[in-house]
Amino acid sequence: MTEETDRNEPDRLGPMDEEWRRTLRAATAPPMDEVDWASLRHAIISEAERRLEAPRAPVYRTVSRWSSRGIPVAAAALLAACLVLWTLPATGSSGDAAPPGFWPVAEELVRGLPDETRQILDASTDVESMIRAMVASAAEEG
Amino acid sequence: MGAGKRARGEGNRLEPEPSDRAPSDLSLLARARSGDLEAYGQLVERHMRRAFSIAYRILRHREDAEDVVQDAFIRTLEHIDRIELARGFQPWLYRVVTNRAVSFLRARSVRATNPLDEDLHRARTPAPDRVTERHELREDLLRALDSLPDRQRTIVLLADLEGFTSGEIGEILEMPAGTVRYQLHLARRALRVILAHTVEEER
Repeated sequence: MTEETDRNEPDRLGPMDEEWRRTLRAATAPPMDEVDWASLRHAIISEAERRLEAPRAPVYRTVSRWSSRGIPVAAAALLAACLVLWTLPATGSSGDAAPPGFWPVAEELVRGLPDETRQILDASTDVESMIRAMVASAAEEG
Repeated sequence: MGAGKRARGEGNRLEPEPSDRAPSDLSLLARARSGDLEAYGQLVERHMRRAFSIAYRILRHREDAEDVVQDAFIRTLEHIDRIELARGFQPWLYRVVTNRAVSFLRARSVRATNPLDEDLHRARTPAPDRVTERHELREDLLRALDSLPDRQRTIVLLADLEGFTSGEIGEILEMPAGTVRYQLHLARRALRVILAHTVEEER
């Protein structure tokens, strides 16, 4: 950003405006001395840690990432659920192998997506390949 | 207080990139994206005062402004993958701060009965011998400012009080710089009209 954008400022302040600007600036001056900055910073970081460590955080991040690529949030959430099924030890997943009953559920989920979402996911033909690629991508991206 | 005081309001711009020794916003952002909370902590330390200043100008209430700053940093972290590196961290953060503060203000104005906040009266009411025209002007100005549409009020605050250029405000509010200048022109003109009426009525 530069100051050049203001070169053509069409509304320069007059003396009267300067006075009200000074007055307004003083009237709304932030009370910087009254803020406990260390506590505020600590509160922000603590909350950030709590959110990141929450059990839903990996799913949340995955949904957020996919939705930012243009995948509707609902679809991203369903696909993130697929990932959870895939990676959750309790489901019997062994890493490379999907847990029992995974593929029918995943296929149904993907086939239920809108066409344009399926195009984004490149899921027109091979659902299994697409899901495997997404699992690998999510694992790679953390 | 854990942090040093810093002059505000006069000629402020988006903060320049730090000196050679300190990591740039960009490198901290990249580290934060990979889950490095220490890096994000540095971004918080670097920008929380300016974020608070913006939030306070809009809300005029210290605790509310602190809440907005905290919320804005958390939201920014949650959507950190969406920040365009080319545009940088600050416009994104200040946009979140501004939007959250305006939303907070709307919600508060629905609940509150008194539009002028208590902080200003508690901390900034002048001594009796200084209750003069300046005090009246201040009250008139605050009322005039409050009467502006949200977008125009925000632009006045960012331009005239926080010292951002129209280009910077355009990046924060996601609008062309020319639109910012036009809106600022309309806002200043409206303020002049309102204040002129007020002065007439008081005579």
